[in-house]
Amino acid sequence: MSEATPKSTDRRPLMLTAVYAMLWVWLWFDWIAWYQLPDWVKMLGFTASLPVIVYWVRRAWAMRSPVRRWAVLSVCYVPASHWMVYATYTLALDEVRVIFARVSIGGVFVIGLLWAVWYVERASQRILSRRRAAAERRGDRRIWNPLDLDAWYYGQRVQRLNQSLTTLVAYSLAFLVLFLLLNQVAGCKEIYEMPAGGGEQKQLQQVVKVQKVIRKKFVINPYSAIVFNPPPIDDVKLQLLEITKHAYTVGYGQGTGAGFAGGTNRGKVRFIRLEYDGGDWDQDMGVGADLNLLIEYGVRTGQKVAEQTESRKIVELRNFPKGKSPPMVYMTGQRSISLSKSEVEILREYLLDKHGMIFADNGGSSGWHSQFFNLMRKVLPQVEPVKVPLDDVVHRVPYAIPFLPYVAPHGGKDAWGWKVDGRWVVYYHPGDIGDAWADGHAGVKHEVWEACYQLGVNVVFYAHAEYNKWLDARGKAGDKE
Amino acid sequence: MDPQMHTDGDVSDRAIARGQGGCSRVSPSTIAAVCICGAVLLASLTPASAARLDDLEQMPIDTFAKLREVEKYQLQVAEKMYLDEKWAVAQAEYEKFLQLYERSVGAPYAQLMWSNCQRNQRKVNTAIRDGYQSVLDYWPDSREAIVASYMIGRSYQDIGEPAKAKKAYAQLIADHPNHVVAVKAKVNLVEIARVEEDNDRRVELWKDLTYNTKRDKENGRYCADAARDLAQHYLNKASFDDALKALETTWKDHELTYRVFEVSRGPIRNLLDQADKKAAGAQLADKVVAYITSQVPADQSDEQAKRRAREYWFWIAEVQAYARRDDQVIKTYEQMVDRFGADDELLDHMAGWFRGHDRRDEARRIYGKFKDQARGQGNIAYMYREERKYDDAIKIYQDLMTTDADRADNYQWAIAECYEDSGKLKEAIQTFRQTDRYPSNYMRMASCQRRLKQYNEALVLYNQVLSDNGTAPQAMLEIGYTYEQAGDKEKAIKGFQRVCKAFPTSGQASRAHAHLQSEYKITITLGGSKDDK
Repeated sequence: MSEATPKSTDRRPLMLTAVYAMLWVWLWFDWIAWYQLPDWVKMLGFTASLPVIVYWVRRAWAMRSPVRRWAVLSVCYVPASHWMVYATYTLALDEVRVIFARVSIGGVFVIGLLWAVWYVERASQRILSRRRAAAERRGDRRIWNPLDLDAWYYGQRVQRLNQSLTTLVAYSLAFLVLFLLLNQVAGCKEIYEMPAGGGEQKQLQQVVKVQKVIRKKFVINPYSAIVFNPPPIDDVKLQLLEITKHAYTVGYGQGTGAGFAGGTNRGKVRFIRLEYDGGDWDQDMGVGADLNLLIEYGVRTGQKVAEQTESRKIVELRNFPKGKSPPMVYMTGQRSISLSKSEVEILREYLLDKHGMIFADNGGSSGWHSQFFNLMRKVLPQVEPVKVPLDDVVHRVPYAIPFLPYVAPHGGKDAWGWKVDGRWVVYYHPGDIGDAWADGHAGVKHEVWEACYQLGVNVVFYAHAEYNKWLDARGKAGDKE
Repeated sequence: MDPQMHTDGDVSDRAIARGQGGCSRVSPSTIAAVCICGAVLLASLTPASAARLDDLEQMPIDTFAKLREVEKYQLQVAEKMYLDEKWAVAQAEYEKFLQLYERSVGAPYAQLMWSNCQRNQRKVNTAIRDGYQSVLDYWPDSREAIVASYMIGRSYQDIGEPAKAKKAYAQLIADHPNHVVAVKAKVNLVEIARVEEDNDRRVELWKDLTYNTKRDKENGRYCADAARDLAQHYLNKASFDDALKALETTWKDHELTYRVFEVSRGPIRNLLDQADKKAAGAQLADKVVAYITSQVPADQSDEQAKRRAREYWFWIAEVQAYARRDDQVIKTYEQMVDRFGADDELLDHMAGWFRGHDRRDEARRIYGKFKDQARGQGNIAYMYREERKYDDAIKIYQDLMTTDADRADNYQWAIAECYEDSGKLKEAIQTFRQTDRYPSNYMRMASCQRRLKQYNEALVLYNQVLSDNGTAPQAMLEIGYTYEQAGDKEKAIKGFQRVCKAFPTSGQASRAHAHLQSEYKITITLGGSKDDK
């Protein structure tokens, strides 16, 4: 043993490293499956690996044994590459993160393979030299040990090649299985993250900006042969331009840029609709339809939004953990709604425990109206639906909506809501608002479809702001505990 | 304040002042005319027109009497708009009153009504914050302040804030325990407790309303409802005596017997449906039957007592039916036949019971005993239709057309329906054509034509019906469906679009809109919400 290797008397660095390794594993599990710790804690924890890595790399260079040196370097590779992946994840550099993740996994595979080949080769040589030293003969017995070149399944010719191929295949399979197992740790977990930032839950101000447009003055040559009618005397035209004054940032909480204090840099506002049995849940979905609203939301609020709208089955709502679940899901259709008992329970859990919200839109029938109300009677039996007042915050922020816009009054002319603890957990629009968002806007007048966009923005914003308030409250409750 | 409004008010004041000060110079005929006009104006303002307002929306007569004419006039204008449900205009008028007559005794009322206008425009938060609360802040001792306190609670309840509503109601009940709004508040608290499934609280409130509230003309019906609900609660627990005690607080004699019968049926069935409470259900049924029997007048010499006795026997039979005691039901009816004779009403009840229990031959036999043969035979024919024995039904209807010629058109229609239901569509069309029920018969004929795949004929009929305003939207929609069935999608789409265009606010347009969207991926406007602003 050299002086640089850890001795029994100097085990403190090794012990500390072991403790840190356990912490690292815990952080890693939290990142992929538990979602309990805030991002900054994880970032701090993973960054703490850097001095440890530096310490061990420096120590590795001083080691005389090349095997130990490379072993230490190999182990150091894992937290180092992971730190790079996590850093890019935190900074929302998605493309770079994907490259780093691939390189990292590729590196682990190659390093592992090299160690496997080295180990097999060494073990094989030892067996061979031991056999030669003992002048032992193979005889007729079958050898099963894969480290032994004389194993029967390697044949009589090109045994080394066969052993190498077997090692490669076995290692690759083992790596694949381990990879899949680790992925399974996360299960089908999925997270929803709001965009980071801040702002106020306030009404947008409509202001009129006056622009003076000075008309061109013409100098006329009275002796010219060209006939010219002089322009009118008033040469100053007032152009009144109505603009939306962004006197504040649309968002909620303390933070820079439009977004939510409880969000993350990589977070985005997503538009997720629910898939359910029995009906046409996919009405007006995707490009040229509900994506229009998502784009409008991004443009009008300045918040980051997803590139596409999405859909999830009701059971998939269970995959979202508490605190990282969608603040709002959209539900529409015009046929029937058929939900199982467990789906009803999942919806209840989503609305009450995960602080979610359903934005329902009657896509075209009075039947859907009564079916949705029946569904809600099962989901929230202790909550009565009430008409959402026009001066409620959901109708005022960020846009003040003076009337309820709709395409056709399939379910009446009033918006209904289910309120729990002062929060709308369900907002029901009776008149196909999704049709107004779609290209062509169902042929309704500009002021109606514009109001439909504004209402859509309001509901999406309301859900996210309320979710953020809840995250704040949870954080404070956690602090107190 | 709007200067124009000031001017108007001043002019009115001046006009009245002139009227009062210059009477001696005006001729007697003019004075008479003015008096008549004044009387008409007063009559239009006082309870006759105000009767359409809700109790809490009316101004007390003594307050009203103190108002000046101009104030009354302004309130009349506002009230007219309010009753016409022109909330925004009414709100402006009440606001005008407040600006012009801020110190009037009618100001708290105007402020209250302004808040109601906001509420009716679905601006409930504004109504609470800027309306009802202002009444409480500026006129805390007024009658309107009490109403405003109640309305705050009601408004919170309406916007899904039961916790705030409960708080407001509790305060109101503590401050004004004897006012009618306190009773209303308790009724609303019962409703909140129902939603929250807090049964103990409901019972507590019902008891309070039933036993502890002094009844008067205004709160009587709320207390009566509470007594009824409390009785039902006790009956669901098979506690007949407690239920009777609750009902006795409100009703007596015949009405009490009726209430016992009315509220006991549901609980009897509920208890019998629960395996562990069947015995309690049977016991309860026995008690109810015994109670009603004890109320049957002993002396049935006069016609009224006899009629009442019959009625009670019918109730006993019904209670037995709810208790699923078929033999007792038949026995009761048989006893009735013995006591009162077999008239058509009694036979109808009996036959109805047999029909309901799938003893159809017995039912038919009883219908056959009807004194009004046409009615009895009509019921038998209808039973045949239920059993899909259309030929038998048609035969009876055909006989009835000759024996009961006054209702021949009804029988003709029934025959046509029999043909339609039995798939004899050509005969159905012919028979519908002979009836006088336009446009319903044309719609039914067209429907038969469509089933026969004679789409052109159906379209001709639907187009003829278009001249009838009431049926036109449905006929137009059916034209679309007919083209669709005929495979002419282009014309079908045009048909559906036509419905949306011609009758955009109708239910048919909504269906056409949805159908176009789901089947053809075509969106068409129904105008949107432009009228709602």
